[in-house]
Amino acid sequence: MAMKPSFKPAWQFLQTAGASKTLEELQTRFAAALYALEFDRFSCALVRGPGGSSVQPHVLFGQAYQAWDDYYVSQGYLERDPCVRRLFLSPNCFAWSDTPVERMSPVGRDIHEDAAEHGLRNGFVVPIHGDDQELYGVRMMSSELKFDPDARNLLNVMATLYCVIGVERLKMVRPEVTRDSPLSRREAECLTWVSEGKSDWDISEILQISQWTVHEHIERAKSKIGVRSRTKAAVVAAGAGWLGSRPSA
Amino acid sequence: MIHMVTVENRHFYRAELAEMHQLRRVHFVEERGWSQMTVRDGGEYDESDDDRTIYFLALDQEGRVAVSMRARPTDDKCILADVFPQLVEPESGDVCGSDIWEISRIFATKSNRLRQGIRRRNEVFLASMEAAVAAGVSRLVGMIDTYLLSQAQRFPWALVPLGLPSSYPEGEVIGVGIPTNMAHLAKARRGLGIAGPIIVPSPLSQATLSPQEMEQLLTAGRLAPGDLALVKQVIALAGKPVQASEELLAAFIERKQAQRAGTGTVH
Repeated sequence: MAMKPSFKPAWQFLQTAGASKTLEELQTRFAAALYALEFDRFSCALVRGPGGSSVQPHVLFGQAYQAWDDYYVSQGYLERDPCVRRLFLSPNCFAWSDTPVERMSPVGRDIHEDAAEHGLRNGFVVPIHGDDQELYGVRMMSSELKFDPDARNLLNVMATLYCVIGVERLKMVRPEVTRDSPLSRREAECLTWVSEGKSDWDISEILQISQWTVHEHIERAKSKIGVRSRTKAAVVAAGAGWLGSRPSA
Repeated sequence: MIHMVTVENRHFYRAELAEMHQLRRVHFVEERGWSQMTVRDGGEYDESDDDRTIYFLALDQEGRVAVSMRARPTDDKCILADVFPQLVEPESGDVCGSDIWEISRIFATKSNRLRQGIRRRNEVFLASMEAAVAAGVSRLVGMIDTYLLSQAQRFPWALVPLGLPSSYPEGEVIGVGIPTNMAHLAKARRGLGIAGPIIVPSPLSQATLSPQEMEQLLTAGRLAPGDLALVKQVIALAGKPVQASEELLAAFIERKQAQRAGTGTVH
């Protein structure tokens, strides 16, 4: 069966996403593919941290609608949005329009109406699970109420590649080393590998130092950051921009 | 380390293969509800389980199957091309041929689906690349349920979809292709922080220790066979004082062989 013309840019994205050298390149390709499917805004957010740790859900990257996002946060919708709750409860992707307006909760209906006033009439959300219980949500939004129902599987796969490859490219971006980082280079390296789910033994093999030294680096980093868990230390350090890029193995 | 089971050493892994087939029944038939599967002697089998099939097994420290994958040459048959051709777009290249293997039936037991299991799963993926490169295979192909695509995509290989996703009775699936050569293998090893081969060398696996004993040795210290430290582990396992001696290792292996010959079992 011939491929639908509106699916061809998406097929192009599936073939080339992995070859994107930068996050920007990936997002450009994703935007072109989504546009053909009537979606024009998108973002990838982290909603649960490594080890299943609680985090304030936040956008990692994307081409979001800033005015809507600002309004959404200002109204306290983030904590009450049924779509965010659904991400935790179900492994399946869903469209805003899957729930008829009359069956929406009062806050769900408020968000739906406010979004429509901002020109966002439908959205498609894909939960993506990381190897260490992290949970990401890719949100794609449209000014059109309806979209091709045959595109659901395709949107699911596109969002998965966008999220996984995007998170990888994000780690390759070396942020400016902040002057107020309390971590030594080795402590930051060890925490970077902790954020990758590596054990002390793994890290000792990668950095060619003893397991005991790795343990000491991580303990010092935890003490400096003021947390008791190594996972929490990695999350805090990453959020503060203290980890830099993933070291080469 | 990963155990690579072929027609040549299959007799040595009889118990592990039986367990693997039983776990396939549990995973694919009972948990995922795949219908129209052949269940025999409590295990799940299909036409791709034959003498050309290679199984990659990650065992836990008790020697039980934790993660498994199978690979098979595609020059005579190929599930992707023969049963699911709609998953392959024409421009995606060949999915069957003398230098292409099809990978399938990948599973991890329930207790191996979080952190500990992810390491084992990655080692199984790496083993399939390692074996493919050694055999001159340039491409792995397979199908993956879309909800598992993120796991496969995170592994440091160059996985590319072969076509659009499609529904099947038990879910949604997509075809994928993975190029295999020395450069890709080296990149995957770097990405995982693994320095050398991940497959248990066959001389050790065929005549000396049982898979369970090997796993105890290899996972206890994550050692490469032949290391002096391995000798110490072997000796420790044999209940002897720890002295670095190749002769003691040889004596231990000889005793194990004699025991095995006496009992007529592989354990």
